[in-house]
Amino acid sequence: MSARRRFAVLAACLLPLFGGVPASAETPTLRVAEMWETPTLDPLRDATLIKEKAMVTETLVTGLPDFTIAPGLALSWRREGETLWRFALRPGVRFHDGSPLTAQAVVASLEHGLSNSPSIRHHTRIASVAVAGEGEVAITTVEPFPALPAALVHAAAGIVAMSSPRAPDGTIDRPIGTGPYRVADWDPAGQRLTVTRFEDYWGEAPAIAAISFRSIPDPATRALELRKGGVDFAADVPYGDLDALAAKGFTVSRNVTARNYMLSFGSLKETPFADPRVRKALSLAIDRDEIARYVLFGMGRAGIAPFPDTMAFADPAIAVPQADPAAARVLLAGAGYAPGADGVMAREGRPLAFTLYTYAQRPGLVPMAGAIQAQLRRIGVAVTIRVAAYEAIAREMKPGDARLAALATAAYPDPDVFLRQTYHSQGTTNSWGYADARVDAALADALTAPDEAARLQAYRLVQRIVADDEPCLVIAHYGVNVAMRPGIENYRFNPIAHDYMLDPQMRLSPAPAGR
Amino acid sequence: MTPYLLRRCLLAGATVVAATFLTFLLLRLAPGEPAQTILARIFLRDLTATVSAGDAAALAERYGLSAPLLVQYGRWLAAALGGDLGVSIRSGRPVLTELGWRLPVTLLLALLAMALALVLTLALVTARRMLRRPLADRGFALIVTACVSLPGFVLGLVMILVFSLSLDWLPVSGTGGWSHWVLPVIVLALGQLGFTAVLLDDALEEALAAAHIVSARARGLSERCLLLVHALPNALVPLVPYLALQFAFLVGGVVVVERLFALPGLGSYLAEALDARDGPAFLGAVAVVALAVALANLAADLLVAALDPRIRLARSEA
Amino acid sequence: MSSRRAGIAGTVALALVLLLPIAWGLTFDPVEGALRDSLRPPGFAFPLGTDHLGRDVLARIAHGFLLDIGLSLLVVALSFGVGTALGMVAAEVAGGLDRALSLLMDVTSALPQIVVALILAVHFGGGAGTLVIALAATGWVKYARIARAATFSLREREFVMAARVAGSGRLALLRRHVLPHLLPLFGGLLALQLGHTVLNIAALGFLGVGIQPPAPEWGAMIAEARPYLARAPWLAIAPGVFLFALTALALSLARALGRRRQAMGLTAW
Repeated sequence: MSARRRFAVLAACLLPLFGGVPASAETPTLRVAEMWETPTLDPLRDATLIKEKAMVTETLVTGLPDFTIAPGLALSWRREGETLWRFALRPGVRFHDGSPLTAQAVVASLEHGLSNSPSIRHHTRIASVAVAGEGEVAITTVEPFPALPAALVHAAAGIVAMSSPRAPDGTIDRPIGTGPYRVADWDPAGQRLTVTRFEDYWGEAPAIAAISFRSIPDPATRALELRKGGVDFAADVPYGDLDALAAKGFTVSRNVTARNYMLSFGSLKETPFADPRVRKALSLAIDRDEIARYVLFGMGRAGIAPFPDTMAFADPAIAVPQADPAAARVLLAGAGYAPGADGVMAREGRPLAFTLYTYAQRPGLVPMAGAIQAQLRRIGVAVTIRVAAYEAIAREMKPGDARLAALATAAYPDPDVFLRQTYHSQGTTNSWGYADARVDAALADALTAPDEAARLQAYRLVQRIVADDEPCLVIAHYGVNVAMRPGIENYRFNPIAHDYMLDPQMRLSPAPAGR
Repeated sequence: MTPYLLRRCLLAGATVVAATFLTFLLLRLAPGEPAQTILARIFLRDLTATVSAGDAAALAERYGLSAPLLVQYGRWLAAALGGDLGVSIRSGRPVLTELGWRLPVTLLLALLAMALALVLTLALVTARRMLRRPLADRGFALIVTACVSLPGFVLGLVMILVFSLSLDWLPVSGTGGWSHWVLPVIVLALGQLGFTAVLLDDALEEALAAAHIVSARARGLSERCLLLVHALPNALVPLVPYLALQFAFLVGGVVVVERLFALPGLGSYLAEALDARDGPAFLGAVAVVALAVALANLAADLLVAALDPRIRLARSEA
Repeated sequence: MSSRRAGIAGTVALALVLLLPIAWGLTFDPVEGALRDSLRPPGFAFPLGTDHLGRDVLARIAHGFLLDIGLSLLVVALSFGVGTALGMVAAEVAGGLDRALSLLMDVTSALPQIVVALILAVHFGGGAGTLVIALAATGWVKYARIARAATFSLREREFVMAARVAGSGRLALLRRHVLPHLLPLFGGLLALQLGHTVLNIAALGFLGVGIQPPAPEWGAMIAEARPYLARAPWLAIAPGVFLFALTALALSLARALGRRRQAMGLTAW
């Protein structure tokens, strides 16, 4: 190859990088700044993007913003036995490739999910799926599970055609779903996804012709791009920028969502945290209102209960106590702690000191850890902060340490999963070993409750017990903000979203002149 | 091929092997269960659910996490030599494919930055020589020190504040058109400018002192002609291999600049893979970076040897 | 001569501008802060304002200076010690050991420092220890190269030969007769590496693989300040200015101490 040709090849490789974005001028496109990297479109790996944001797939059951459920791809369902359910599919639904939504297609999709994603098995507790007749699907759960319809709202349970193009390893490369938008263009190199309106959609046709997503994991960059006009829609921009954005005419929506800032302890056995008075003292020393106001800038809400009262199944009777360092000191004294030489409270020569682990991916966590450190220092508790990758924390954390995390409390609109994982003595998240017979009994009652009202009562009882016992400290309920350029109308936030959901009814008017 | 060339080629290979083996070792020796980590990170973005032992074992099998370390590395290396860098844990795609997407961005960024740095260097050095006033000397020293001392991430932030937000001239991040390259290239080039300017200035000093220049000056040629026609071309020759050697330094700047401007290049791929503990992707990226640096060093060695036979002799003896 | 004096005066002035506020800032607490005081602009109570947790920015810059300069000195000392020792011993022993060291040096110098730090972070996570190891593991090469070359040439010198004939042990020989002649070569390089290390520590802090919060580190402070860039630009600008000044100071020192070419770090071999 001559030098000149070599140069030509090199130039051919590099030149596309100078080109503009594929013409978006003719079709009005909503440009969204996505908050995670999008390495793949596999709906099992990035269900939130494919289902909740890009609206490519749909689930059998839909979750509404008031945490109730409604028919989705299934028109109706009934429970036929302790563990057996039957779902009747909506007729006349087509996949993006034109094939009809049949019972076989639904079974194949759910089975694909169940065998490839532990998460779906875990969340839905489905044992098997079968075709039960023309347009009907039978689902069997591993145990009596009244929350199954709600569990099917989980994004990873979205129905995807098995004819979807596959990657070499067998995962789905470009999902073909039934949703109002279909995958039009996917540029994994530039981390850009474009979806366009699906003309044969069974429901009301969406107003916006196309939506493009660009991954911008850094919150500060998302805010800059929005201000600069590089994107139209961004979520989780830095909390301190919201007022300035609103003042510049951007639409800012601040919402409490199904996620908690939680401080959990390494172990409740043979550590200072075993003593409920110590946990209570720490809780009283943390000024949740101050944190919500100055660390979260109002993005999020001070909280002590497992769910914010904006959620239908929350127990509204649980109130957030005022911070009271004096009462906290009294509690510590009652637990046998006295100030040591360096001002740190100690009991039998052992200081009340621990390492608080947290991670940097969510913008509120590290500053919040700093605030908690300062607040606990005021009652003589010494906290060291360590920021690590989330997965590394579980390895490094010792029983006497603690972790601050933002945990999802409703991957689908039902209280069961979160309460059971977190507070049941056998719960999978409950690595700190909390065990309370009343909680376990109430959670067992919930599964066999005669009706939904009785089930809700059982969950509310659990919430009251743990809000009083505080095996792990809820600090605040997560706030998600959505900021949009002026001219985007009809947006409705859905708090069951993992991050944010887009709304097919959104409308786009041209950007006002002069921006 | 002379023994010297052979040695340098082997050295380039050894560098890549050393870097990847070190990375491989550290990745695999990390405490905890990689399969668990992978599952938690990939499938359970909410990070709350846990994974059964059976699922973890299946995954360990799929990603070959159960063989002895040296065997695993040997397998990786053999596959890598055949062009197979494994499959990214995050995306399930071949790492080589993804690197192929990222490489042009980094390559373009680095080439443009080097070109700009060279142009600025030439301008700066000739300006200094032609002006030949104490003020020019001091200005030169000031600019050089400033360029070397100014961290790219600070300069980049300030430039975003000024040129993107206040003046509204240039985009903030990402790729898309020529305007997206302006700020990252300037930041990266200014980071290089300090070094290249000093280098060229030194080389020029030497060239101007060379015998034929002195005699040309005696013949009454103008200083400007001396500088531009005779000294500068001579001074540029030794500069080229040094530029290649600077490549390793440039790579460090690329990581920071790509992160700052959210450019989907090799540097951000490295950082993303580290963040996600995506072993195959991280290892592949390290391999490519090490290979690029090793090749640049090799090119520098060969150039130097071609330009100056004494070095070739001296170094093959050493 | 006057230009040189001006240069010295400028360096001293820069040092004063840098050190006086730092001395002042050291009298404040870098970690304690009231949330109610968060994001205050510079003023009487807080000379450089406060950060997002209400902490005094000047105090954090001052304590961050101690941290950054302390770690940098540690890195420089380690690089110097290891590099010089290895270089001298390799030249003295020669043969296989020397060839092995040459290979090690070539391989090490081909690895970008930031990338090595990222690689180590895979295993150890971020933190001061990782940082020092990563930077020292790549920093020793230049010292080793110079020490090795100089030892080779010194070996043949009369006074060293004489000492050898007189029965001096190898280690004693290196320590008494070679090392003293090496030290003057390193002045510029030491200051230069100090400047580079300060920059690299800050860059790694900015990338999030360096010093962990709430320790006040300049690069990490700038990264922390990014979300508040529009609202509180001083949070990023103030540590940036100090970082720039400190590096410039170290590099000016390097220029004063060493030859120009050396000073810019291009002692390629």
